[in-house]
Amino acid sequence: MSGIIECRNLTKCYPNGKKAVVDLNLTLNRGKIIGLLGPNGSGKTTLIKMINGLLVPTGGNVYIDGYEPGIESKSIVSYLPERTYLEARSTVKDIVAFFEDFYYDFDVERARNMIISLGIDENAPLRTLSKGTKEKVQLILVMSRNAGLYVLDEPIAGVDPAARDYIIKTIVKNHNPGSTVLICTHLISDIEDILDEVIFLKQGHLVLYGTPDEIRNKYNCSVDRHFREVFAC
Amino acid sequence: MLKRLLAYEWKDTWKLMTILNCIVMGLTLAGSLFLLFTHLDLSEIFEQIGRSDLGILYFLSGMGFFMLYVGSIMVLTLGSMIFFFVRFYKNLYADQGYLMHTLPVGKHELIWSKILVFIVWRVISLIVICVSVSMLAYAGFGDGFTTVAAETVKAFIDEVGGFRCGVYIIILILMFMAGVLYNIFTGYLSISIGQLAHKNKVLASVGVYIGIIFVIRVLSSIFSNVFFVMEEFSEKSIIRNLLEYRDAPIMLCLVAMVIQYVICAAMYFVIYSIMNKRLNLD
Repeated sequence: MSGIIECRNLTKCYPNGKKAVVDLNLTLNRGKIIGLLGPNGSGKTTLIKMINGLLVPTGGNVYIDGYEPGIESKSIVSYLPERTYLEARSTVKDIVAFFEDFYYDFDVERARNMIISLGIDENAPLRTLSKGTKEKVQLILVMSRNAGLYVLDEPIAGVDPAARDYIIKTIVKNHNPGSTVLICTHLISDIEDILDEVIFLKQGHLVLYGTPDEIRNKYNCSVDRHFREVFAC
Repeated sequence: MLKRLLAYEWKDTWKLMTILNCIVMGLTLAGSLFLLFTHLDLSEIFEQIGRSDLGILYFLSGMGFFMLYVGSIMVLTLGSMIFFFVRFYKNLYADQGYLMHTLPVGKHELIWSKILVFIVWRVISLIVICVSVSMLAYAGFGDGFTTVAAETVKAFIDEVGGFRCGVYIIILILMFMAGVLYNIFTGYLSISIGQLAHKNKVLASVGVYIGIIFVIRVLSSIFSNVFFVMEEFSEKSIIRNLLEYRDAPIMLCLVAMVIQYVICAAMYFVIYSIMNKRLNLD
């Protein structure tokens, strides 16, 4: 069986001439939690956007479960972007109904249970919620799908350590068994323990792809430490 | 999925559009009452009660009402158009685009959900404006208005004939739809091209909108000038030949309408291609 994500000579150049991803060849395994790591501007978000069909590659191809980004791939990918994409005047209840309508794999009960456990008012418009709560609502929506691939862009950036723990626990506990979770972040120490594999991206190039154990054994340090060495300024 | 997209698009737009249409109808009712009073000799009444200054007040309030009414019509037509354009941009090319473009729906469905709801509200607004103007005209001119309207309709039917009348009405509806689609596609195309800009996407969209209007005006002006010059110097005049036919005006309208639909189809194709191949979410 082929990988859940396959990048073949994948390249993205922006109109200003900046090459965000350069000739990337990569196959991501199924059923793993994978960390997509790299400093700012390394091409992580660009790669994620191409996987989700939000950016069109300038060269090469990306396949998700054998499909190019499109209706088929979008029905199996659950994507958490780095920004709030929900309409501020919608209530939490409205948004849950929206997800239920459009995603056949959305588990309403799971979403409601998580919302109740956090004490979030279902009837509250999003504009009345704090930034952290909005991010939690988005995470709940994304993790309530029984998706084949979860793509999470900076899920723990900009939140307090307690919220970080909650987010990590939610990801581990709720992802569909057998699915792949791709987490893009540079807060490595917080997620190192849950990762099955890690990818290092540097200036759009693949620098490293392996398991945390391989990195620890080979370089005799943690993934976080090795990251700091590789990307030292 | 188109049905669901349409349902959500309707849900997000109906409140504002209903309010705008109700404001126009509310002002129409108030205006009709106001105009009914003009049939009375109010100046005499004001003088009888020793308040001739009320006449000026009445005149000024009439002017104020008229301006308010025109303003409400402007908001209903121009304001609602801007509302739908902004919504298209925010929904598909700004932050909400991260949700809309990751839904398991096709690009055609995304675009058509926006177009169809916009068309429905355009048609409703036009009906409201027609009813409103008719009510005010009736309140202002009384039976004179209905007589003139009936005579105009009768003259039209006599001129074109019963069967042709139906055809003319269908063509007029199609022409109206062409105009509506042309406005919608011009806006959506401008926004789609504008989002390709690296920065200041909204400004770029406004610039493209003005550019498209300008280019189409220039092209149609060049086309009509060339056509009329050719007419002037050619021995076999197309217009003179056409005018010999009874249906010449409607034929010219049909040609213009077909051109408009072709331009709309081309615009739609460009919007779809940009969304499919050149999506550029920051």
